[in-house]
Amino acid sequence: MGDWIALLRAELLKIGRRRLGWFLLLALMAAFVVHARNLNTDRLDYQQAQESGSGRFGQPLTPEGARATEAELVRRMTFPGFLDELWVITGFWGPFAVVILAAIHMGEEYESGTIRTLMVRGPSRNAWFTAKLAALLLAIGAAWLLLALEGGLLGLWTSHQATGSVNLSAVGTGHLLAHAARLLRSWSATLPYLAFASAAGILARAAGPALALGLGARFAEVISGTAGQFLVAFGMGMEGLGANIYRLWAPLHVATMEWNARVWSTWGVPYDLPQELPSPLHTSPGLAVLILLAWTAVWVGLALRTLHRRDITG
Amino acid sequence: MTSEYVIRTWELTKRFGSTLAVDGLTMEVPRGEVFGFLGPNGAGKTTTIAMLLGLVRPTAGSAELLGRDLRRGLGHALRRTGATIESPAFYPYLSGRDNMRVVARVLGGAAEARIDPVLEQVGLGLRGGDKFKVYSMGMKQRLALAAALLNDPELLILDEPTNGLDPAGIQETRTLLRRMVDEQGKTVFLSSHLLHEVQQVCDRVAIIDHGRVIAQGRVDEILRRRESIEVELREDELDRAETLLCSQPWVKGVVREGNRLRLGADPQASRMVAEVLGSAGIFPCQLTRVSNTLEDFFLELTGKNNHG
Repeated sequence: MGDWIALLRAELLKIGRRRLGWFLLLALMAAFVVHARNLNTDRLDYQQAQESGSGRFGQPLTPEGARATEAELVRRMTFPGFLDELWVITGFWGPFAVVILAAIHMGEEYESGTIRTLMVRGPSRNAWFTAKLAALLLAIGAAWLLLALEGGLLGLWTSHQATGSVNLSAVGTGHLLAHAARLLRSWSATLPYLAFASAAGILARAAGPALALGLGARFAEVISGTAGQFLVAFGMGMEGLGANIYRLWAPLHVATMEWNARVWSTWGVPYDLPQELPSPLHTSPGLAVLILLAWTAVWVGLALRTLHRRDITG
Repeated sequence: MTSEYVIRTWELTKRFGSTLAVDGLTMEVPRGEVFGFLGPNGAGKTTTIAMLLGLVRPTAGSAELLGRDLRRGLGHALRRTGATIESPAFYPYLSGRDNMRVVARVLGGAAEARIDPVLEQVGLGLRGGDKFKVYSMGMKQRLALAAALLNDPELLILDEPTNGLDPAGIQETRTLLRRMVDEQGKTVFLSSHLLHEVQQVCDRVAIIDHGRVIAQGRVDEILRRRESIEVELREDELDRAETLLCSQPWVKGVVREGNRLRLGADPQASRMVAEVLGSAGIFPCQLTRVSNTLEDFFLELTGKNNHG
């Protein structure tokens, strides 16, 4: 165990000194700032719409409708509502950042030859891989904490924009505990992505192809996850050809990392958008976490099998 | 009980697709010596080292590293070994010292406490804080050697360790390796193209070509076997001298090169050559003891000598 801890410390040293990790964290932080600004811009639009009767794109809006939307935006911009906004960022952009970091971190070990520098020191391949995975997971946990901290600070600004003051009295211990639980769930939901991108790095033995493989899979998941919304947007609803495609695709999508990460991190309420259809995809958080663990086991197993069966060099 | 040999291979073979990289290589590396591992490019040196270090799985045959069978996993043996293989590979965004820290943590034990002394030992004490990416090739080689020394290994396996080093660096490395063997009783397994260096530093060599050992033995014995005597004569005396010398039982062969005869004979026999020729009234213009180099031997064996 002591050897494994030493390996973990070696990996943490590398990740901590990598600019890429810090750059990805800054990108997520910037995305959070943009999201907070967008909330405020939307709120101002709906405020004006109550007098003008039309929205930002000239669409007609009733004063009541605009008022209700503005009230919803004010709720999201003030505490405790703002606490949930972080998960919009980590839920969608988080896996992209995780895949980029893990694929490059693993692929470069082969590309630069550093894997042979380490392996000739005698660590077992299992210990090396699991220490690497654990170090990445810990680094992501630290990043998620920093994002939560940023969320607190940004919330002070959005609250002030929305109401002209900052009222923290509405935030009870229950809210904070729920927030902490969601932080843990959102963080743990990155594990299958981490395992997948690491396996891609070992299979590809280079950062570029590993990145392409990891991001390609992530895009495919996202696109398949939004297909239902497109069907609704194009008025196909649950009727006709669209419905048939949807019914064929839904049972497959229910097994994806994307869907189950959403179900798990939101504790079974994965609908971010009110116009989404009631879906046959719905799974319970318990089932979701089992599916995520199964994916993790598949990718870790594939990575370890490849690591053991293939030569490190030559 | 420590074995007499630190490395042993039996019919070690590696095939990459249709390419046979190492072909039934059998070799023994005795403890407490500098062992040179020589071969032309593509002979299978690095693949052999990669198999010995557990980076590449042999297709057939077996090997032992510090008494540990390759097939049973090398973990413990590798912790008593220091190694460099191919070009130095470290994390470019980390300093030399931080790269050492990473390696030390992988090694565990007291390795972390040895970082500064080892960097000092290889001449990187003042540049340890610089990022690896700004290191010259020579500095990278020094860092690789430092990493290999970090666990105070009883066996050092070095793949072309002097590539990119300046002459002073080559000499320092040679002195360091010799000292480790002579004063500390360690063993060095050294793969190199620099035959002059190998000749100066190694006690024993193995030469491989096309994945097979084609010669091995003590360097001094190989060179002694290859020593000869060169006799320079007047043109009109060459035939008579050649006939005379060929008839001597201690002459293994005579080769004529211009107005010189090269005798395959112990250099100690120079006096006897002078006596035999003198008794026949032949007086050489010059009698020279010729020492062959490892390079001559190597080129001759591997068929890369354009001159002979």
